[in-house]
Amino acid sequence: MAKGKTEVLQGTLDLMILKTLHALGPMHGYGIARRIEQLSQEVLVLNEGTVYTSLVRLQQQGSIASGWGVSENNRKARFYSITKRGLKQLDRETENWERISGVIGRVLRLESEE
Amino acid sequence: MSRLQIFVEKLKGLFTSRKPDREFDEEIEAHLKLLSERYIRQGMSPADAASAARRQFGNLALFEENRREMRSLPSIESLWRSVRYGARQLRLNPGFTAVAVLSLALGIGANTAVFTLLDQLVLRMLPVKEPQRLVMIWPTEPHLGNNEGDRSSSYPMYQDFQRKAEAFAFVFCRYDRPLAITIGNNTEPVNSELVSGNYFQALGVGATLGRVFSPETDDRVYKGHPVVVLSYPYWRDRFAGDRNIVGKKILVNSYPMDVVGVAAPGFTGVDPSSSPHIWIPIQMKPLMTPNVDGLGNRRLQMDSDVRTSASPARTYMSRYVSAQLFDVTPTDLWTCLVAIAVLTLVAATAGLIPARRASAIDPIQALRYE
Repeated sequence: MAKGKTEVLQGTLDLMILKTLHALGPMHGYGIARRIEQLSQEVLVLNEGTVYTSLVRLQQQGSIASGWGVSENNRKARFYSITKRGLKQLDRETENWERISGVIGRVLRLESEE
Repeated sequence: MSRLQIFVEKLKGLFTSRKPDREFDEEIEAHLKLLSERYIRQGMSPADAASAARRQFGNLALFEENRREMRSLPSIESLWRSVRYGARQLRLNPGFTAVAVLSLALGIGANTAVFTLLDQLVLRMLPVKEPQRLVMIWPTEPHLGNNEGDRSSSYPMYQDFQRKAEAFAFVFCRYDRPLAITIGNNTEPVNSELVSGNYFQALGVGATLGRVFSPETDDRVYKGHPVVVLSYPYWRDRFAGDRNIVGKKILVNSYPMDVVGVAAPGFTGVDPSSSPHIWIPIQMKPLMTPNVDGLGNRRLQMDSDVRTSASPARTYMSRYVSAQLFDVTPTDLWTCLVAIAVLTLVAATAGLIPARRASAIDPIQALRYE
């Protein structure tokens, strides 16, 4: 693994995918992987296969739906879109994430003051 | 995202076709192709690009496995594999299979039989009025003059009890006896019960047809009540439910008697081990049992219906069973527990033998069977 890169934190990939679909509308798996790669600015290591693991899981939970369509370069592709339930989940997990990261941030600042 | 919903999705995955799997494979294929095209655009050779794409994608086999586990219920699938493996093992060892199956069958059969008996004798109440109030009475002094087991009494004793035992609403007596009954030209054996006149009244059993005995009309004259009450099943089966049976004459032990009634359906006496076909007043006993005649002999069983009981009254049923089962009280917890433990041990042992054999198989050998 290249230096300075971090593995995707367990459970955060679902959140990233939900947010991506929420912000950019229906996308196929490859597009989602590219988008996350681009946003992470090569800080995160992402095995792109795990994107699909997440997609299957999210679909089972009913947070996303999928349908077949044609990609930008005229290939048949499966497009994923966020559902109502997914939006609720996104809200909940976003709030959760902000709370936790806030707490951790406070803890870390506390240490550096000493 | 309820857990139930996920479970349902997985169940669907278990039974639906493999089409989604193929579609997924195509999807991943397309993804890899796009990735490698991107690497080619960045200046890689096609071969390098393909392997770089695969590296970027991650462990395909692991991912496939994850996906299958998420899509279906692996525990059910592996259970099915185990079942098939077990069936194969059983087929390969027919001798052991036979022994295992037979011992299981025996165990189940024995358990069922024991429980049925217990159910009939202990758990089920008699189909009479307030069966839990029924008790059996017997003296505990030395059984002088007793010639029918240690629970029997004589008619004079019964009369004493009836007069003096004020705690009991009714005291009645009964005497089991196989007799011969002649109808037309046919003579056949029947189970009969000679009973005191208040027998039906005490048990709260009425008549389907005609009347049952009463103390006023059927328990007064020594040898003077030649009347018979038929049990409902006997009347239905032997006399085809003939509604004109009341008033007919039949011979009981060659003695002519009148049929006066049929007892209520469902009532077959107080002794589950012998169901009487007919009832006869106890006063007729000398005629029915000419060799051991008289009512002075201690041959009767006394039962009574406790109304204002001062002493703890155990039910008649458990008394009866304890007498039958070697003086072991069947409701005794320890007896029950030991019986259950022994039976369970037998069943477990029966299952253990094939299990031990299966586990003793060399894994390599097991693979060869696959």
